[in-house]
Amino acid sequence: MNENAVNSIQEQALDPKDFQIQGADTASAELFARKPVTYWRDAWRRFFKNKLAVVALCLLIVITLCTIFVPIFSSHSISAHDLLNRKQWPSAQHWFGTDDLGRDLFVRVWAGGRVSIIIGVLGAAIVAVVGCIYGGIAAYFGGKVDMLMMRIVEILSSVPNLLVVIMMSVVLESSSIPTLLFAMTVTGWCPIARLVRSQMLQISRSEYVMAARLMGVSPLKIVVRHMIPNTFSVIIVAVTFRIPGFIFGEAFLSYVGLGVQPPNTSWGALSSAAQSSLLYYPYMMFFPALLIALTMLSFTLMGDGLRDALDPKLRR
Amino acid sequence: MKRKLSLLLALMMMVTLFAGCNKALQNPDENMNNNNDNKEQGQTSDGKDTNQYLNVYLSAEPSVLDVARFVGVVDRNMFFNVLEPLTRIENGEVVGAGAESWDISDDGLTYTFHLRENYWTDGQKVTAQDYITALQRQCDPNNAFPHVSDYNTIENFVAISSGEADVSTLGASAPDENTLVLKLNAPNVALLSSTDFFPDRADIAEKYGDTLGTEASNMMCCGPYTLESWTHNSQLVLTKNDKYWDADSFDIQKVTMLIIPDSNAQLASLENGSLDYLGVSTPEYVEKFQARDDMDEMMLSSARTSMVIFNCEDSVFSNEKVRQAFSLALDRDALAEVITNGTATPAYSLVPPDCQVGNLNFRENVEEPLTALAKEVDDPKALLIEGMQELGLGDDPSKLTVKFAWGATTAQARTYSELYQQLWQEALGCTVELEFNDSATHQSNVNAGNFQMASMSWGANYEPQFQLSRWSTEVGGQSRWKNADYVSLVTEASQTSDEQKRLELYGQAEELLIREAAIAPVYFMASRRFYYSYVNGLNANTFDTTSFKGVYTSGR
Amino acid sequence: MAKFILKRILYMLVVLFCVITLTFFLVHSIPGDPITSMVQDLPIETRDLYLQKYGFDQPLIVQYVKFIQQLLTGDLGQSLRYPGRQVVDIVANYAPVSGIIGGIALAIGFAVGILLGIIAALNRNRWPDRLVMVLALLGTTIPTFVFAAVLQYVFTVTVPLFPTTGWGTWGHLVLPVACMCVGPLASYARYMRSSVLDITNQDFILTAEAKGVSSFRIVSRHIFRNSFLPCITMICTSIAGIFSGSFIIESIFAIPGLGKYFISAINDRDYSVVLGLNIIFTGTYILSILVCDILLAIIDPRIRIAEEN
Repeated sequence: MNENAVNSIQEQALDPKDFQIQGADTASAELFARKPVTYWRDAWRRFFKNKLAVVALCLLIVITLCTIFVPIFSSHSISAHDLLNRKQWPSAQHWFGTDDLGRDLFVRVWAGGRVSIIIGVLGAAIVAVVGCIYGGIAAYFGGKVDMLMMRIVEILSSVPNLLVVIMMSVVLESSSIPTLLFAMTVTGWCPIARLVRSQMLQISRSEYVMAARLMGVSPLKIVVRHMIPNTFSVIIVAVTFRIPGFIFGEAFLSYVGLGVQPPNTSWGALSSAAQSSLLYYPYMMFFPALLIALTMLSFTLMGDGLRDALDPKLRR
Repeated sequence: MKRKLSLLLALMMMVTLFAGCNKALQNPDENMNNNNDNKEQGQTSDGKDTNQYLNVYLSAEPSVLDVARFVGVVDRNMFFNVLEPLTRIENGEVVGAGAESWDISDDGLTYTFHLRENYWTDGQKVTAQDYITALQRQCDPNNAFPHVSDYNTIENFVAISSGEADVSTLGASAPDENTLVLKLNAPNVALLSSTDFFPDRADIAEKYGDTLGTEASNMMCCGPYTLESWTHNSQLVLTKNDKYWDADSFDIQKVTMLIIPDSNAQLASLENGSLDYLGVSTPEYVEKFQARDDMDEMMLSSARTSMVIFNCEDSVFSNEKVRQAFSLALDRDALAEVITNGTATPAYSLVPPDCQVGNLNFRENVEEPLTALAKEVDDPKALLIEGMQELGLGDDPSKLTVKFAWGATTAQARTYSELYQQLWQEALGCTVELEFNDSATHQSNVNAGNFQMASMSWGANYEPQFQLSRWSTEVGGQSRWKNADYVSLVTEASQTSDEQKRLELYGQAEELLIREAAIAPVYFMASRRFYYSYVNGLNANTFDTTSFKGVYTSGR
Repeated sequence: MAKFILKRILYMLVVLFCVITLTFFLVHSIPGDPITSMVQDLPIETRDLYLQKYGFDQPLIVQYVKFIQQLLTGDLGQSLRYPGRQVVDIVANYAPVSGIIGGIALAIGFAVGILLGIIAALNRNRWPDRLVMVLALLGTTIPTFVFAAVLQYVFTVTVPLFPTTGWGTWGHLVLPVACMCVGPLASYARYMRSSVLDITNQDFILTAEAKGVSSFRIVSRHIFRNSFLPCITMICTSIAGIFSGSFIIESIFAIPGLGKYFISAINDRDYSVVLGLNIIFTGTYILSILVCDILLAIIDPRIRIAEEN
């Protein structure tokens, strides 16, 4: 603006009568422009925007429902042999074909899915819970207790996980799901404990927690309101990513001969049973392996989606 | 600076990796590649190839090639290739090998062997003392020889091995270097057909101590072949021993034995010619190989019986009728069909068809006991109910739960045992629980009596003596079936030189065993071998221990 | 710096000792014993003699002390299933075999995976990215034994290019390495991709772009070096794994490696071998963690300072 324009505006006289006082509405000054959105609802919304993750979630729901209902409603038996119909390719009668003893593979695959998914989910849940509690305690008490607990974790982490699983399976002669779960989780909780502990320590040093302390909020309320919810998101993501590992681990144990025993079957047991006939009857391995792949994939994608949704800093 | 450091580290890693590669690849011998001895493959005048070699499949890594410490069948079969036992079995008969001839005293207690002229590969003569050294080392308690019971008829052998007697009391002596005298504590008609006497070098054993027989360089050979190289868990290479007394009967110059654990890999190796012959059981592959012009097939009996053993000390299975019911309830045709794809023959007795009593074939002269029993019993379930009532367990089989233990944990093993489970549950109406253990734990449990029913298999020797005597031990064998009549029948038979009488005694013993259902035989194992047509002279006699005698390739 | 390393080494020894003790008692609680796994009709006396010879009839504590004494002289014991073989020799013979296959597979997987990850990240949401992601997902979800069996059949029977089984020539290496590198390749590709994406979104990259630095320089100088760091952590823990071998690959291709030996030793109840191998595996694992920590401390000063505090 040049000087002339300024002068011309100033030269115009402003008449107070041209203005009317409208009053001050202090109340609405504090109002939010839109509805308040909590952290969780925001995360929820972000999750559903991620199409891939939503598809993965739907796929998982379908798979889970199938594992629950197909064995109940199928006309074929899970374990009764039918020697006339051995090793048949998929047909209208047997959607996934039949196995060595003539049993319908469709129903067996879904029955096996129950075991695999239970092991996957429960295994991850167990390590999560144990890890959380352990890490939380270590972070809460700090000092010597923390040091001791972390040293124990480091010692346990120093043994290669696979070794421990195999040895535990042999020692416990694991044939039932609980013992199998125990063998697989006995050192699996260590990374989660570390994660939880470092998360909690990180949060307790952050500014808003410091502010809360300064404001005089009680420690319990700080833990419940700030630390746990923030750790929670990290834990959920970590757990979701662990589930495929457990499913795959159980498959490996079945291959070596240590997994679930009949009458229980699992996707891993079905795949390894089909290995010797792979080149002639590929369908026997195809379906269980496909389902392992799909389930692992879905959990991974869902985990990705959860991570993106729950951690706003990663917003892309 | 940091960049250079990390680059240096990476470089070092790569160099060590490369150097390590080269070293480890050179360590195994150069004969890895099967094709590298394809020198000019011409033919001699009788149609045989000039270059005679074989690539065969070996089922497992030998534990140790030391006659005093070996563990299994794989080791024992290897000894027939690289050592010279006193006798071998050829065309189903006992023939002289290390011993040219032998005399047996009238009371059957003294065997005098006249040795043939034979040499170790380092030039030293094989003497009678060498055979004694082997026996002495075998009964030495420090070696913890697992097969002591095979030599229990030799005077004082067992006593020495348990530390009760001194080794100088062993019933073996060498009046001169070509004569070996063995003294027995009881007549044993089947001695030469069921016990192997290998020679052993005392100086070599002393030189290598614990490491004797763990490497190709730590042993001395005197058989048709020498062990040229041994790459653990991978392969063994045998080369022909030209100093062998019968070298003219052996055409194959070199045998490469490959250890391949995976079944798909084995079949692929046969298919592309990496193996010259192999036993095949998968029906699809059987069809494929049958359709090939360049392959032939032969059936081999394994002389092995697969069975279910019952624990006669168990509360439920102490009752004979219960055991009989479970034995009769099995559909042996279905089991043989599913588990072995039809190569095995359903068994209604213990002793397989290959066993001989002298010149008489056992099975041809003795009827299978279970067939007779099956005709007498209409309904196994009714029999089970009778047995249950005798035990005071009521008369409702659906309330009975029993356990069946299986000695493998592979997926296939589970499928097979589920079939057993199905058959029993359907025929008898009871509940059968399955238990899986790996073979080590399974054997442990069975030997300790921790089972109700267990799957088991026993191989047979030339005479039925070996198999039948598994149940004439103090505890009654793995079935814990204590029957004094049985023991006396088996013992008497082992000392009877008259073949016909011996056959009858064995027959009576077997009938007792099967009728009282100490075991339930299931099938006689066999295998179907496919071999390339250029391989001639393969032996189909089950008990023959002639190594590769008479085998040659023509037109490879 | 030296103090840091010394502290870590001492620490590592303590951990190793604890692990050895734990493993010893764990191995000896496995049911069954080596001799019954081998022979069916063993008389009681022979079994007792055997157990006596190897000292199994003594109380566990005595066996433990003896074991530690032997260990300090470098003697890991003798195999029970294969009499006369020293565990140390077994390791010396089989470990290089597993190591070579694992090492080459890891190197290829690492190098190619990282490359693919960078390409995918730089071409985000375009076809190279999608392709790499699909390949990576396939790589992590197809079971190894399927892949191995198929490859073996196709390339040794259908089109006989390589030896079916065995070990000794370069030709024997190809198929096993091909099977083993798929896993690492897939995971490094994914990891590198997300790492690069993280870095790319940061302010200093924006600054560099604004300053007009060439893309090539940005990628090679800034992006690569920063995203590379986490991958080093991952590879360090994987390095220990190459010696333990892959049981599946070694079974299928009949390779005399340590992985298969370990599993069969467990099944045979070969205590000394199981214990010896456990110690070796754990030792190498701990060692590789140590090396990795030291390396990272050299490369990233923040870690060193944090430790010293």
